Amino acid sequence: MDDAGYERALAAHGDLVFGYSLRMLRDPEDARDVAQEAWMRLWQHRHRVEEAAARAYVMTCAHRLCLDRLRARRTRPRAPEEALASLPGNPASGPERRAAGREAARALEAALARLSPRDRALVLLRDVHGLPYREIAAALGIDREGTLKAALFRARERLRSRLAAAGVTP
Amino acid sequence: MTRAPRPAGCDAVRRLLHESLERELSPGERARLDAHLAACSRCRELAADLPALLAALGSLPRPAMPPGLHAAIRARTLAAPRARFGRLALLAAAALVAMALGLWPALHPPRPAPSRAAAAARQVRLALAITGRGLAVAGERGLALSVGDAVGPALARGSRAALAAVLEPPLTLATGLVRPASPRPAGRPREKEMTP
Repeated sequence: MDDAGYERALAAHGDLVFGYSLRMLRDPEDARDVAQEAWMRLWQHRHRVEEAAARAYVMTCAHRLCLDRLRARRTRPRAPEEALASLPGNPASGPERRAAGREAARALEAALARLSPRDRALVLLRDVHGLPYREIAAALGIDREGTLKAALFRARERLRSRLAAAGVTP
Repeated sequence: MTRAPRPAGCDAVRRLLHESLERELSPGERARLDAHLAACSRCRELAADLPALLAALGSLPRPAMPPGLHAAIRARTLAAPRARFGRLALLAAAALVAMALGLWPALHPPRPAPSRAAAAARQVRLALAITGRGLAVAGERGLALSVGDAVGPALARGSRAALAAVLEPPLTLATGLVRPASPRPAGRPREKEMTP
């Protein structure tokens, strides 16, 4: 991947890397640091990464960096709703979010925050950001697609259970 | 509230339920799923909730990068000074060092080792020059301190006559300096001659 390819990848996936890191860590400063470091790593290895694989590479870096930070904290994510409330969102999703209802969205964010990092990563990567299974498997280090799907389905059901426990129906 | 026990095969059918949200099931898979849902209330609830859950997840806002982050990443990557120049400078420095090391022996050829007699003569000359006196008045102690090689101890033990014999003519004492002594004949027993 040349410099122009890197520039295109940064423009196309910059928000994805930051948004994923933010929901994993629930801390804007940590998310910013992780995003910078992930893009730095892609930059350092750009000569052996095809442009088509840039997203998978940088998301793999971001995921691992997030896990490192979470391990260092040894606590569950903090301030889940407040961390997201003040951030600028994707304009295209604004009306959808309003339709879903602010309270329901906050409950969903809170339930996501209380999932294990692995479950949260699965749901975020697939159901929030819509990444293909192949890239999710690479980011999470899962070899078989069947294993990945089974883990994702269980994670969805745990999320639903947490919402139900909080009295929220999706 | 108690729930009805799950019929057997919930896990396998739930997988089909999730898959049905992403692809079209085969007629056989669809029939199996429908038959299970008809008999399992818990899976029916899940089937009712899952599409709404996925829709809610898909409609969550996707936070944009905060202001300045894009520029900060660019500053550390695309806009950063390239290391290429640094590598070239390093290579040039290494080449210069290698050249200098290669040229050193040519610029500083090793000096031939002086012969033992010449070395002894230089030492004696030095001693005499330091004392400023001729061999006739130079004491054994003075010579012993001055001559550093194997001749030294022999000289130190010898008399003035023996010293003169070792150094041998031609000696020029007028200036207080000693001309280099001629090499002694091979096999000449030095110690014997020096013993008074």
